[in-house]
Amino acid sequence: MAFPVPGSEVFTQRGLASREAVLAALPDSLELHQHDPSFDELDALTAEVVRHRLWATTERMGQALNRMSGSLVVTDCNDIGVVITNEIGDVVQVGPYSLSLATSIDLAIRWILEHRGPSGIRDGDMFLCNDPWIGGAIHQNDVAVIAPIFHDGKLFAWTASMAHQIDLGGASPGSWTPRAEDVFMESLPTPPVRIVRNFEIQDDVEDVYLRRSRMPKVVALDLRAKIGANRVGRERVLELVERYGADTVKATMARQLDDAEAKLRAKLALAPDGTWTASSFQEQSHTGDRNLHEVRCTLTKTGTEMHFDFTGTSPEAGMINCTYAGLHGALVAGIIMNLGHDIPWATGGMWRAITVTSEPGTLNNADFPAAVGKASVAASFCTINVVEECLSKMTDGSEGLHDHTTAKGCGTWDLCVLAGLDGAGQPFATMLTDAMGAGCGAGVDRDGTDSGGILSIPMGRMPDVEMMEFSAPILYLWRREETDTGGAGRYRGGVTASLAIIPHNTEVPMGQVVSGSGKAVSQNTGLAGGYPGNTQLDIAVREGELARVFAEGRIPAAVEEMGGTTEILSCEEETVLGPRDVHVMLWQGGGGYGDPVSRDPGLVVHDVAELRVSPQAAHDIYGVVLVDGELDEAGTTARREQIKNERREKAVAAR
Amino acid sequence: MSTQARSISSNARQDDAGALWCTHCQGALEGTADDYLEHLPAYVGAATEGGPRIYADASAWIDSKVVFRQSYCPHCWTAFHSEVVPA
Ligand SMILES: [Zn+2]
Repeated sequence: MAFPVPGSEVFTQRGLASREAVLAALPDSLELHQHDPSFDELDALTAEVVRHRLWATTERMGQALNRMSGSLVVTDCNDIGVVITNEIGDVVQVGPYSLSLATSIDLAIRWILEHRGPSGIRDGDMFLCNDPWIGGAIHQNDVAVIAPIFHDGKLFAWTASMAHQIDLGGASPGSWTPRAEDVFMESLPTPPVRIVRNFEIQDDVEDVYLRRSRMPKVVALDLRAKIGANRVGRERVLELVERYGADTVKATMARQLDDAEAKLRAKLALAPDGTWTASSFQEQSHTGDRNLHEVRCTLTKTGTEMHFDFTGTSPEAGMINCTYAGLHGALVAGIIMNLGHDIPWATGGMWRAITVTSEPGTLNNADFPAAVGKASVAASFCTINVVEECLSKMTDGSEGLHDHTTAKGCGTWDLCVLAGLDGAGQPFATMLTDAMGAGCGAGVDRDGTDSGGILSIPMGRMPDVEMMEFSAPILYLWRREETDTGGAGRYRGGVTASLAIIPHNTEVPMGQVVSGSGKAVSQNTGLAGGYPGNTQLDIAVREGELARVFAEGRIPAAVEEMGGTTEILSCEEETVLGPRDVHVMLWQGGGGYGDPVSRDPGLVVHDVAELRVSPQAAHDIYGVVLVDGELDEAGTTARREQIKNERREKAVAAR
Repeated sequence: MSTQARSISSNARQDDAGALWCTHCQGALEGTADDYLEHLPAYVGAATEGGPRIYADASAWIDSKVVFRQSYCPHCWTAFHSEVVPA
């Protein structure tokens, strides 16, 4: 039970302070380098060169982080974030990694300016933060290292690097505690502390940070990777300043913000004014819960502005909540995904066209000390889902923006954390990150990409099976795409995949955390008549007879071939994977677009041949009849007519 | 039907006077641009009708009932909306 904590208010941010408010709170000792609106020496060519250098710098920062890290979540999956901001934290360039994580950094930088400004922010400082109430972190596993960049004694800009850390303590391995009742049962949130001072890591602060982790060596390496990434960012920004002048670089940043705003507004001008609503659900907020929890969004678009109203969202519950930072990052991530492919990813400018209503104490605006350990893939991901759905409903009715319309892809994450001892008695902890290869939603003129990934992490990657087996004592029985997991539609949702793993070379039972929603209610919604993608499913096979099956020279390809007993796992639980158990997980495919009865029958025949659609679904849902794998045109025409007749009869009967 | 007709979605269009019709069969639709979906004939069935990989038994996790809901053009019976949602 979460009780209010007097004194915690200072760490809670619910909105981005204006420039005027930021400046008013700064001490005289901290000088900012600000854009001079009268500066008129920025030519278009230079602006483009500088703009592209900033963009390339975020990619370089991500590469630096990747190459120094020793954590598979980083090196093989890119669950990281990098960003460059102006002097007050307005995001000028988001790197192509986790968008919602990176775009919440403005809140954290505003907080640092207000609360660390008085004691001095100096060249060579870096701040570590994983406090979701402050920003720069959606849940505590996200740790940001945030670095001011000074030029000529003035605060010129900031860079930040973030990564999901494999374990930062708390009650459960992986810091993911399905039984958490409040944040005190989870990993400790740490507000911005100077982890680096005068370009040197502060060992006392580092000790406080690492002491909480079950995997301190991996986390220590990640810390250095983030510091290194920030140094790459700093060096490259200062190189630009050296070459083009501080005023030119700052004017380019200002133009980047203005362009993002102007281009977003120009797109909104193409859409009709109106109101669109969407809901996204989470089953089970914590172990033992049997309730359904909703994030609801109403988008009202007027002229060139958007108002997102989350009124009607369920009260905070269990460990699936996110803070305002989770809502803030998710909202602009959704906008980048739907509208932003040709807009600068400068969310500081986009925010000028956006307002938000959200009630504190709700699922995606949780009060301290609510549990938020699952925030990034629970309430925050649901926020992405509803924002994307509202935007796609808006663009579906807009001739100028119609091609921006996309049915929802995978709407969450299928989590499995394993921890224990390997065959040599050495401890390990790992997270199966294969769900990074989820199915994408269909568009208005194309199928969703099969196993195309999670759209809010553009550079997210599915890990190499061999690397997963190398990093933990497990063996994969399979990892494969699954038939009928893409939502049916005139354009089909991308199919997704499943895996089955067994413990290998260890007789010690493994601790296991299983967490994932969208098991009863679809999060991967279809659009314009398109069907949702599959529901997620996690299964444990207990005391399987794999040794016998292997001895017979076979590798099981289905749960039914494994022997043992089958257990459907809950959405939030901690369990044990025994030496003869099997863990099977199926994550989410994408939603379909348009009525499946209007899909080109030739495409359905191809889908069946490629095992993306079963002959049964082709017949029942698409109305396509195949004879020996070939299209039966007359049969298909008749079957489609029959489907429409059945609809007429059933709908009438239902009224 | 005005030449100024604007798109409401890929399934519906509207003229200046507010009249709505189906994009596929040009049949008239009831309601407004904001609520026309609510005026369509609808069907509510088992969640599994939303696809063969929709898990049949929501009670494995929650107490709420989950259904497949679909609404149609009342003339050509094209599906305008399909969802698997709490009842
Ligand atoms: Zn029609």
